[in-house]
Amino acid sequence: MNKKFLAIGITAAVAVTMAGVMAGCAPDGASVTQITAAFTRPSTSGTYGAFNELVENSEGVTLDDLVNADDPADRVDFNACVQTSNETGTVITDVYNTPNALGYISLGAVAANSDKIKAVKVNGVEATVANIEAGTYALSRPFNFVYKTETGLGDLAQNFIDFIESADGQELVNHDYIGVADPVKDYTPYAGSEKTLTLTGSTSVQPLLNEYIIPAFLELNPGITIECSGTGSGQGETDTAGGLNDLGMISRDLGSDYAATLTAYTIALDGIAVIVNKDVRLSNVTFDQLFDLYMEGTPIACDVA
Amino acid sequence: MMRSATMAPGGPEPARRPKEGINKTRLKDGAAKYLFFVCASLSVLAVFGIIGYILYASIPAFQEVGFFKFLFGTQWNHATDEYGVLPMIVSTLVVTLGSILIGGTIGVFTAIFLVFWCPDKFHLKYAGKNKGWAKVVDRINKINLRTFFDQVIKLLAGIPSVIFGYFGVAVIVNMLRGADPYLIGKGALASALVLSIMILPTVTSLSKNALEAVPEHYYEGALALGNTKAQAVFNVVFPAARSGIISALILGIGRSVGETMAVAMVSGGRVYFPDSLFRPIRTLTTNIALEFADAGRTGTLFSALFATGFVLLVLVLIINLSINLVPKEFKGKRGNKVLKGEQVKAVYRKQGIIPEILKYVAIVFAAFVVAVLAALILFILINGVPHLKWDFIFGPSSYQHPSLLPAFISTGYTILITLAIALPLGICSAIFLVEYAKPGSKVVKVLRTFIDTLAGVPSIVFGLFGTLLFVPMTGHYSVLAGALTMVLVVLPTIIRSTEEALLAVPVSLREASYGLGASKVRTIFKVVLPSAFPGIATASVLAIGRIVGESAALIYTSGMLLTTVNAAANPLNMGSTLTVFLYMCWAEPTRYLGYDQAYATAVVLLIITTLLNFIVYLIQRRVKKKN
Repeated sequence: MNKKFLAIGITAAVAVTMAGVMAGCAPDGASVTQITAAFTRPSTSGTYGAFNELVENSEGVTLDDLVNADDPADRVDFNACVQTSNETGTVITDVYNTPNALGYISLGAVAANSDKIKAVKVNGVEATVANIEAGTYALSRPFNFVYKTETGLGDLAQNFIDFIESADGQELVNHDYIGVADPVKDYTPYAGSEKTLTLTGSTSVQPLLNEYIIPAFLELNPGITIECSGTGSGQGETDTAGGLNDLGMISRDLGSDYAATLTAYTIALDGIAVIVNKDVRLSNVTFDQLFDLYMEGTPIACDVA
Repeated sequence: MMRSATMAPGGPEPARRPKEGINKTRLKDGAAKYLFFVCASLSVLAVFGIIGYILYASIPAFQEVGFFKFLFGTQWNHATDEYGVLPMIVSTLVVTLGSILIGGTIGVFTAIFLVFWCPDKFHLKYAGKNKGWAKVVDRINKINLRTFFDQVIKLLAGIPSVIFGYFGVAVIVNMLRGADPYLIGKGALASALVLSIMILPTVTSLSKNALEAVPEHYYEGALALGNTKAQAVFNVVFPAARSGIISALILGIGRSVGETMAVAMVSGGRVYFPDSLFRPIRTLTTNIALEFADAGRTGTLFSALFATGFVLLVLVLIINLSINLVPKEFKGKRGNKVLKGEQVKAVYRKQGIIPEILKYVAIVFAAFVVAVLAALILFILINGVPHLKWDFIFGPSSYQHPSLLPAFISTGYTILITLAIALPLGICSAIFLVEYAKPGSKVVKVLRTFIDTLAGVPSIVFGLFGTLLFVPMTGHYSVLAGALTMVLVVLPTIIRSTEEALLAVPVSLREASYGLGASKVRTIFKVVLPSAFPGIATASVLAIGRIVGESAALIYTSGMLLTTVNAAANPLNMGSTLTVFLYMCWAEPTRYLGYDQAYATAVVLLIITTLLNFIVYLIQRRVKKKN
């Protein structure tokens, strides 16, 4: 008898395993005809705030106007086709796995994940560094460092910013982001006594620093330790106010709660890319389409093959 | 769960010795008692301190929003300062119920299969002539299948929840996609399914213990009366193990309620009532995880998150109290129902086809568990092994070529610091509770309930607590602050497991020691502790597993960052443990660090978990052999 049971068990096991592994295979993006769902971020994310404030319908009403309307009677929540993905990486995975959905992430994160997703044009303009610089691409937001107004910037923090604003630093920034240094500064490596620079805050700013700025900065300043921890824009502000870091990172404008105590310093501009699965035949979305999808669930038709 | 008070061996005092010796011995005895008392007080302080603080920190939210508006409000909006958790409470309950219905049922039936129908060995036959193959087949046939199956299920318990979350997103959500009107697949059902898998080990292991504790003669007696095997199992043994199985299910509920990261990845994250299977929902724990990042340290949102934690605490307390409500009459010495006269006849007379069907259900469910396990492990291995490179694991770490070495160092520090504080504190507290406190004391009973509650509090709540207390205390996010937070996470479990281990040491051993003239302290250190050592060692290894697998509490106390070997060498700096590193790879994939590295890290974590489980297995096997 035992053998029979074992046989049944193993067969079932293999069957379900196969199904499971096969379900994990690449989704079919090419056959999708319309976008019917969308992903957003938690309401406390900097990218979320910027996206909601920028996307508006033809009457000039932004997503933020409806979702966060002061008067509860005017407030409209996102359509049920919108789901929350907790991190940039989760948006990428979700959009890749869900070919009928779109999402939005930092433009800086698009190139590194082009095997899964692609950015689509917004209002007919391609999401590129050049277009953001020219001001034609509509979805962009600042990357800010924040520090206590009262105490000002530390020496090492100032030196770090100087490096970002040097010719070398700007070249690095301009790979995926838009440098804003005007004029470009001369840079001399840090000669002071501080040893550690601590930055906390936005996870969107973190890749810019981790991928480009910090490695190059450390090459010029080998004795320095840099800690750059990402948890969220809001934490960047509160940590700075609480004296827990040297620089806070936020991926939006400074919140009004902190306008009196903190100073924001813009180090770069970042685009917000609207992304879909890389095989989906969608090349352009308009603000109206985005607005209607997020608020009404109105599908966006893909390009005709 | 809780042993009856009569078993507490605190009773007999050592015999008095001749006068000359008394002073020194008494001094030692007194000093030791004092030490144990201080440790116990510290633990109690920690337990009540946390519970009190969570309440204290929630008060501003309750005041500003209104207590009932908070509990029964349906809107959660940071921008407009509206905080209501009713949809989240309902979602938590519904998802938990779903996971218990699915995972609980499968787990109980798997336990039944493991105990009664699991073949001892593979009965493979090899007809060919190749000696190598014959040897391999021989080897395979030697594996004890039951132990193997049991160990693999326990392995499932040690896998970090982040990995379950990703498995959920990549496999389960994908399977469900077709049925979702929006073709996404996330939501209430996906959350319940992921949780079902996550509670399987808890439910299966504990149900298995309960079934094995049913006296052999119940089963044999039923067979002797002419029952088939299936009838004996489902009509006699299963009802006898009922209370143990209910306890197992309740603990499963606890695990379900407290899960954070995995659910955050598959739930869809919207504040809705779960009115359909694919409705995106947000549970209480995921609410904290999603909002925490930007909540800051002051303001209503932060307080509202603590209030969410408070609601969770109350839920856990209710769950723990309900374990105590499991009828005592079922609790024989080993937690089993004792059948009497007519009852026995009634039970034995029950016959029929249903048990025979249930037998196949047990077999199919067990096979299903094997399949899910295989899928999970294959998923990690297939995606991770190709990227497992020496340089990535142990190479020097830089920003362009990150390696796991700093994460290893940070994980090591976190484990060392946590255990260095939690072990002495926990063990001494347990010694005081078992050896010194008055047996059967009401205070101790209440204390145990609170310690159990704390053990069930989701770690993200400790994360909130750590950010507020330990980060400012050390002036900085740091591995130290993370480790101090982890002390609070593992302390309750260490106290309770040590207590169990001490209680399991027979009173006669203590009495014999006293009889030979040993003092109480000497008896504790030379007799009781060595006998309880395997239990304490197991608890420590499990605590290490908990630390290795933790993500939610550490992200907000020791940071989520790339760092260098040099920086990681100082525990006062920030650092990411392996699991946090893994989460970072998934959360913010960049050019140098993305999904491939995440899967490779998952393989490393799988290996570590396997090793830890193997150590526990070895310890337990040694104990069994000794007995």
